[in-house]
Amino acid sequence: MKMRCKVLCVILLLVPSMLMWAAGTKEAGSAKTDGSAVITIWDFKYGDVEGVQPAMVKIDELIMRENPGITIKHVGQPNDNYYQLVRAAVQAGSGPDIVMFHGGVQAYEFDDYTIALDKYIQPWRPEISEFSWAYCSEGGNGAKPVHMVPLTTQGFGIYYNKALFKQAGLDPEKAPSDVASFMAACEKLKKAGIVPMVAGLQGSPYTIDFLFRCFVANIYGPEVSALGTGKQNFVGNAAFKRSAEMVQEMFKKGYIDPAGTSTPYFMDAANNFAASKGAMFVGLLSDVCHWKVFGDALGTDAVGYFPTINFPEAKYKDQQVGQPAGIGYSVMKWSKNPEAAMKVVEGYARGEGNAMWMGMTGALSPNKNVDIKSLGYPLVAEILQRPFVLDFNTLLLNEDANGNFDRYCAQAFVSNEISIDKFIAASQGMLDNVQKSK
Amino acid sequence: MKMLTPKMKSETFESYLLIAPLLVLLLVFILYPVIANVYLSFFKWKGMGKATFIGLENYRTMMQDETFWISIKNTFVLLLYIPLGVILPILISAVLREGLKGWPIFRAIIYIPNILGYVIIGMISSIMFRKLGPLNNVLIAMGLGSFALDWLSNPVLALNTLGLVYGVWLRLGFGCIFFLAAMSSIDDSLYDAAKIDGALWWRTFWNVTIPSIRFSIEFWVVLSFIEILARAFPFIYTFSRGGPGFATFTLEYGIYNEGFIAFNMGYASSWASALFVVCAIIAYFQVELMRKSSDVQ
Repeated sequence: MKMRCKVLCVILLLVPSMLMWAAGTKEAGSAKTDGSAVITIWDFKYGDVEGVQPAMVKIDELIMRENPGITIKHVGQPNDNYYQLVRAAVQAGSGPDIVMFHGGVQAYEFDDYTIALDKYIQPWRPEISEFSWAYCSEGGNGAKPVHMVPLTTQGFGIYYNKALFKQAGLDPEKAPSDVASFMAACEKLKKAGIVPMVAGLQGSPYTIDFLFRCFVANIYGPEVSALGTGKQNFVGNAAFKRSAEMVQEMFKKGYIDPAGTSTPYFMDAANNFAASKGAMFVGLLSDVCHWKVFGDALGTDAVGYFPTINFPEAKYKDQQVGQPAGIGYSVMKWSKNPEAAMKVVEGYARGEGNAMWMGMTGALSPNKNVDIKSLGYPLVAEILQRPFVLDFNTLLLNEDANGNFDRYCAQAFVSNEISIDKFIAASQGMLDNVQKSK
Repeated sequence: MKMLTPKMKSETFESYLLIAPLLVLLLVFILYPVIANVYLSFFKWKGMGKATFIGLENYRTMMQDETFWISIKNTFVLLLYIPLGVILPILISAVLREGLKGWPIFRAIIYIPNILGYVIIGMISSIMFRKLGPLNNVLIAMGLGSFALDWLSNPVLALNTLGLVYGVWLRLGFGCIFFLAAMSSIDDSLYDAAKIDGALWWRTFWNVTIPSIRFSIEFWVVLSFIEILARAFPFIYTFSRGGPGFATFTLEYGIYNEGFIAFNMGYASSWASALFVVCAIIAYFQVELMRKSSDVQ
């Protein structure tokens, strides 16, 4: 009987203690200690301990030195379920003061929970182009308040190894510009025993995805936004179809690295290009797999760049794809110290902090005051002197932008499950989904 | 009518009290999520903020969604690997039961996947099965180059590789241990009697071993269905991410995709409800079959 009573007591104690444990603890947002503000940042880049974290640690130190009352608590959150964590914080109504977002639809979904920044950025607003500010405004509407400060301008382009071009008998200073010269260059490279296009296709075929984003920007030019309104389409566009046929031909002729299906894009394929295992690579313009990585590996003057390939059927030429804000920082509505939080954001977006951000990580800053020449990479100046055309991917719904387009690319070009026409129809379906959502 | 004595009443109360913690956990972590999921499937909700009631719209969209039907097809293809996943460990266990030299080493090897877990095995498999991966390299080295296939890029091969690795190989070790344990409880006199009657190995296996472990087999089949319908996500996520294209995209993966990539929580709930219905139908038939065979017994 005594034993039974003991067991019952343990159970009765166990249930409430489990419930209390399940209730959890509340994370302090911008708790004040001794009159100084503690600013918490959630970030999906901070986990990159080799590439990004050292730069962020230095910038945080710089900001704290310049603002003695501010203590920064930088939290690196896992990339894969980052937005689930931010959503959980929103549902709980508390969390960090500053949250990093990707530009576009992923940030717009949080507009109701982030503060308008216009009054804070007013003194230095001209340092960043209105192209970027408009993109970071509520719902991407430039007439509405700004909700995010852009830290990077993102985009895609084709990098090439000048030494391998020379080895194949190509002019290293003259990048291919149209379909004919591009395919001829691929053929020459292949004949010279060089892999023409390094590829990362395992898991998600990002090489093809990014290549199409370059092509779409070039084909539709300034009219690319009309893909989101139904005034422009993939179906019925001769140049878009030609671009898909060209990619298919590249696979058939072996111009795309045959080892690509065994290679993940991040970071294996980029490392292969940096190790001269192929002549061309569809890379990013900021954050990773970019001019700095390849310049450091191959020599700053040994890497060439061209933004796209021109199609005779297209109305526009030499357009460069870009996202006005690759990533950025927003201040959450629950922050008790929005002024202090904005000081931190400003420290990242301009001045010495921004120069460190760009110089140490290879991020392409949208701030026009950064001294690009001092970085010592001629390629970055070449990239920045070209105007950007909006990346069509930023017009899509989350699901299509973050997965479905990759799957259609895989089906059409990697596993040959669907025809070019079906690929175009599937891609058109993503644009139709945007229409339906409105 | 039989009246309960005070002692019996006290014992009944204590019994309920003893199972109360488990019941609370079941209510909180099983029953509540199931009901909440069905409720949420009638709403449009982005995982935060206000949910909007949209009636059966999510189900209507789901029925017209090509991806949903692809995921159903893929899930059912994976279910076809269950018989192999049951037969193989039983056969191996039957052989091992009779003693095998070096069995402890063999047992350790086949049990390794269970120690490592789905995520690690998924990652390792994604490397092993690459076109230029270790498996193909070994095949080529052995002069079997024609069998060195593009396992992960060909949609048919990718799905069947997933079926073989996840549905059969991954649980082979645990299956062998499980069935060996079941076979160890069979009375040796049954085998002796079969031997005296002149029964050969196959006949003994079919008429003595199988009937004796029938309940274990039924349990293993139920477990296999659960594994494929509701526990394959971490493996698929690390092995193929549902690709190439939608080749290994299952119902369960679709729930994740809609819920945590697209953040269409209401729509993801309608997929989860569909999975619940599929599981319920299968469970019903399994229970009925088990009941019938139990009655026959």
